[in-house]
Amino acid sequence: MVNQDTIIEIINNRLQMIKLLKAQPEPDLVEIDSVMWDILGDVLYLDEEHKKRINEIEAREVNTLEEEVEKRREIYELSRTHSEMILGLFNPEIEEEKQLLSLFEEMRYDAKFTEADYNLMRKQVSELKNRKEEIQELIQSAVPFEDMEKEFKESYAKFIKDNKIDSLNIDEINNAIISNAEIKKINERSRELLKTAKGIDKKEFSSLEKISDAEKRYEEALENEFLIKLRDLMSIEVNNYSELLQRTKKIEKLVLEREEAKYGSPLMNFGNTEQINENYYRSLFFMNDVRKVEHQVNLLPNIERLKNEISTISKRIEEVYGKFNSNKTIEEMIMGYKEVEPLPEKNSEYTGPVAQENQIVLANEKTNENNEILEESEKTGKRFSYKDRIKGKFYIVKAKAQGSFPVLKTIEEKTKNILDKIKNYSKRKSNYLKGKTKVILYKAKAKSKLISKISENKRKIIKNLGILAISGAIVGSTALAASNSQNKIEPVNEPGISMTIEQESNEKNDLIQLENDIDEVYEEIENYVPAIGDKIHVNDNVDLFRSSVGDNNNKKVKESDYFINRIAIVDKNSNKGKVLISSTNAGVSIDDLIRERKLKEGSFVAMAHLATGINGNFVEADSSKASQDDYGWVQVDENMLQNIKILESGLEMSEEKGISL
Amino acid sequence: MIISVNDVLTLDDDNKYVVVSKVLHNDINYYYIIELDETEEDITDNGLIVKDGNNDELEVVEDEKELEVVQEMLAKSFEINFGSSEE
Repeated sequence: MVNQDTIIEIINNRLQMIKLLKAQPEPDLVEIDSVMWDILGDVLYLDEEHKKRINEIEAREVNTLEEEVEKRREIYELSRTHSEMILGLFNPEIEEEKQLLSLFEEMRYDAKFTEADYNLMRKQVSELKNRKEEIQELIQSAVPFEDMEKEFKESYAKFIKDNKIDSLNIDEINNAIISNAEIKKINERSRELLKTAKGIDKKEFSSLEKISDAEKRYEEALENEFLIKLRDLMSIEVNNYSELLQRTKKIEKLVLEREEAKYGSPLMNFGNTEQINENYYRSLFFMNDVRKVEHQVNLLPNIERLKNEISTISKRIEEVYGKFNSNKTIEEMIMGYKEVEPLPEKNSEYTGPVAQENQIVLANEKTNENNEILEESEKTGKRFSYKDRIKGKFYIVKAKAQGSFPVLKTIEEKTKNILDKIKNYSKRKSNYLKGKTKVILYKAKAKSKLISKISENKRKIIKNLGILAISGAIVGSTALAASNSQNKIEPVNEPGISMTIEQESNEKNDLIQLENDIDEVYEEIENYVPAIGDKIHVNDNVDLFRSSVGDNNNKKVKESDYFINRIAIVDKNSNKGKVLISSTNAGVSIDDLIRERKLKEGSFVAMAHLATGINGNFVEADSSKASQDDYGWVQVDENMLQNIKILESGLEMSEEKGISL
Repeated sequence: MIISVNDVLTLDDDNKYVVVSKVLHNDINYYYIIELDETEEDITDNGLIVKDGNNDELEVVEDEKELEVVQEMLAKSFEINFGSSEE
């Protein structure tokens, strides 16, 4: 095995040699070409070595999802540095190096794929980790009912003692309330009258400005009455968490009513704690008791909910990533991420969360489906369909097929490998990013700050909701922009609403851009039918014919951009090459001619005529005479389609003009 | 899973959405959900009209007629929940 640095040095030396060859008085183009092929071989060797390293990492068995994430990180790092190293070798300003560079452009995508893989996996695992930890925290926080009740009883006993409630006499309290209530009532009415009274000496009524002793006694009696009621509630015997919750809620209600009676409203209703009343902390204390019990009562449902969420995320991971190279199931891997410890000894009586195993349902069907899809991609990868030419890959394949390059097998595998990744990625895309169905991974309650923001932006929300009905379910970013421009609906620019286009993560944008690029290439190549007016780039592997009936002088098309200005369908069975139908009308496609003549498949040969265009523009040809920019005919077959790139479509012209053969 | 107004949903596009409106139409629950920003304390301009799907899935409503009907209902429901937009 040759050292990587040595290969790099060899490549650099070869590139230097090409410069010198070009600088000769009479450059030997054959030798330059030969050196370029040598460089190709060198790069492919490096790529092969890189692939081996990737395969080694991929083959590494993992026991936890964390290890799987780490594996994907290593693959990403390796792919990134590899692509940077290879692409950094060539200077796009130099023609030969630019040509070489174009052959390896897809390495950028390779690195992007691995980055996307890593990031998506990392996020999913992080979601799982959070829930596992949340479950762990919930389990750890479980308290047996008896312990909790004991704690409450101790706390209540202390409260009763501190407030000397047992020394209070209910009869005395009732008497105090009754006897002082009348005085309080009279005083309150007198204070109201004092405000509006005229012609009196207000000093005479100065005693009304102070709270009278009777009123103080009245308030004290009310407070004592409350304390006795509180003690009675505290004394209620409970036997389980459900009864305990009821008791704490009754106490909470009583203390809040008391605070409200004394101060108009419980302080927490306003959320303003700047002027705290003396009962505030007492109310808070008993409210907190309710929360403590609620937490225990909700432990099981919450754990169950988190388990369901884990199950959902696990299914997503399986769907998106297929099976891992592990002898463990995904359930075991998830459990292995952080083992759930049994409850502490003191909680052994609590039969809640620990009594149930985490149940992670495996999506076997999906996995099988993925496997089938992978097999399909392997099948299609073996033949050189149009898809094989993505990002110029075909040029290499074609060259070695002609025998001028020795490592045919290597390139085939490489091509297939990239294709599989692209196909897998497209599969993921439909499942994951752009699906019309969205899966709920987690549900929580909105915080008050968020609810306030919604209230603040009511007008905007209603307006956007209206736009939704026009633009189709999704509002925001480009959808919003499109609907605005088409329907003249101006977005309301109010403070507090953030525009999210910029906020979307680069990673997500990159992924979407990447998948759009891939889809575009797929669609373009798969559906392409030559039509008059098409602008295409043709490389020099395509035979050039002097006429539509196939006169060929072993000439090849000179690699360049061309327009299709004529098309013809020729009878395959006629020795003389009889033209069945032809057209020069812009926008007419080969399919149009075939449909017009109702021709059977296999009975004809399709021909397209290339023109150079005039001043870079398409010029419609005259059917009766030659055109100024005529170049020559090419046969529309798989070879031709595999050696072109579609630059612009002429079909739009037919839409403007209406098809006329 | 029961979804209510003011629930914050984490969907599988890795974004969080708040449910601001919910209506029942032809025995199907429809929701208007708005994506949260990075702070998760404010909303963005990105909204979706979705309806209950299988299990824990939400389907994005795309049918124009369906959208037209539920949009009005969701708007009314929103105003009931958060007050009139004219306030």
